[in-house]
Amino acid sequence: MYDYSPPGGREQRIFLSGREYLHSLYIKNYFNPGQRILLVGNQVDPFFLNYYLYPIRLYYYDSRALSPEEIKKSYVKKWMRQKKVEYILVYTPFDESFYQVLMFQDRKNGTY
Amino acid sequence: MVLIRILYSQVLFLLTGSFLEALIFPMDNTSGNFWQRLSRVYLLGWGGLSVLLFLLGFFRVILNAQVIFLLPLFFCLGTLFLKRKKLKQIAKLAELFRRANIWSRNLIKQWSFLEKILFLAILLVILLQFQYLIRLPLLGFDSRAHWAFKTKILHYEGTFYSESFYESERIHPQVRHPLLLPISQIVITKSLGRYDDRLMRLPFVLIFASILCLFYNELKRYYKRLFALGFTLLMATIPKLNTPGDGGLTSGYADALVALFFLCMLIYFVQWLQKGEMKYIITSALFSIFTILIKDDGIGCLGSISLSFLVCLFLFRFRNWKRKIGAFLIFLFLITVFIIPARIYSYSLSVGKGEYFEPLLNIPTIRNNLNRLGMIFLSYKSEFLMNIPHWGILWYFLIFSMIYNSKRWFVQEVLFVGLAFFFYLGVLTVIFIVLPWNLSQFFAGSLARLVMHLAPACSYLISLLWVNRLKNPISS
Repeated sequence: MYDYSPPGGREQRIFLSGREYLHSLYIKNYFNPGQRILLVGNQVDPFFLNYYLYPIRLYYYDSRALSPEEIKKSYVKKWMRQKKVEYILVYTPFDESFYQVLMFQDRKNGTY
Repeated sequence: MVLIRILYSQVLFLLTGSFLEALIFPMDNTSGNFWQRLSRVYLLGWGGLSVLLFLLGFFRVILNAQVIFLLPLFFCLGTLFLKRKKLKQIAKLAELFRRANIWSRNLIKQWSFLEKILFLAILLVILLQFQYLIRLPLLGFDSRAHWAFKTKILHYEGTFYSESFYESERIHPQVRHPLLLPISQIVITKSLGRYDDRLMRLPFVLIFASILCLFYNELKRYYKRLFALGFTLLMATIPKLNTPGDGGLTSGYADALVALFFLCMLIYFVQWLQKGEMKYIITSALFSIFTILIKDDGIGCLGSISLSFLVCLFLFRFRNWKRKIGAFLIFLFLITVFIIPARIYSYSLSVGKGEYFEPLLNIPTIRNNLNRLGMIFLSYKSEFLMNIPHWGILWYFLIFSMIYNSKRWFVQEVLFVGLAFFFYLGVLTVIFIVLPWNLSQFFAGSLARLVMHLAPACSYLISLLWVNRLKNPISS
């Protein structure tokens, strides 16, 4: 696993290798039980993540978006406010051996 | 400590089972030997406690440790109170235990070498399942995303009216699956005091062992010990049932349980057809309730058994047909009473409707999709006849047995089980015709799992077909 930016940053880019179970454990480290996360997927089947991450509350939005900029658009922001989601995870296959997770933290005003 | 907690959870099932057993079966020799009773007590207890917890949950009682632990104790006290005039009979239970002579050397000495080998092979299969259970985590997609996830929610939240079930944006596929299996698993996780996705699957193996015991004792009515053990081994070693992966017994999928309880439904229905005693059809009804509440496919099992019974009723013109129909209506009524809450709950969920085929189950859809039949039958052919790693010689043995014993086709129990078998295959075919998904993709992942529902029933059918040729000298 490679962490390309320091923890605590507003935007964090993580590359995950290995199987789904390891991905889940790695992601789980960042959150506390009961926190709400919006998982924005693209070409992934995220159901197992929900199993391992529970009781972290995972919402799913299949964005079909190809870039973080597209994901940051208003629909997600609005949704984050409605569901009181604190983080957004973008979970996409990066290449054959890595998955890429982009993590955004919500500010008080609901923008990134 | 873990062992004590696990044992405690199994005692909870046994206490509930004893209550049901005491209600249905009298304490005499007509209700089977010690092992048969113990197996039935476990099966009835597993399902009975889970159904009751589901009903409590349905009425918004939080399923916490107190509720789960106290309920079977109330059952125990209730049994003693109801049967207080027959308390002497409880002493008979001890006598039955003593007479069972379970650890006697002489008992084993009576067995021939071949019988011992067959028995050891069956034990080995069960031990292999225990080994899978302890060694392997949940591996399959459905086992985690569908079944274990529901268990996890129920373990932490104690209710199925939470946001995790009702909110459409939460990731929760097949949210409307029945909840008996997850509820039965929280009895174990609550006893352990933590969520454990290995140990919570323990009942899968114990149910398998119990059903093997029931199956053996059922066959003992027709055969001498050697053949009964042989056919039990045939059922125990169905490769697909034994695989730890996709759909196998310890994989965490519900399909293995549907298959095993379908066999129980058939066994007790056949006993009722032969002996006409209400206790058998009530037991069959209880197993039907469990099967339907484990997975919706149980409705197909019930439908095929009902249709098969009606055909047999027409063909054999039972002398006491009015009594038979009356008992059959009680059977259906009992099942309906218990599955109505599950259906009400399922329809109350506004989410996940697109994942199910029920809305498509209508004549126009069937007519439009009839062109799928060719592909379905080709897939059946490759699954039943070519997929040796999944089924071994099971289906070939069925074909051979049917041809070789064709004179027995119209014997009551053979016809009943055979028709139920083929009607269920018909039910599967109709479901495949209306399924909203891509059929080839669906078959690649799920056909073997669904065909497995028929495999234990197939073993039963095979064993019934050979009765005349391998007759039990004791019963004859």
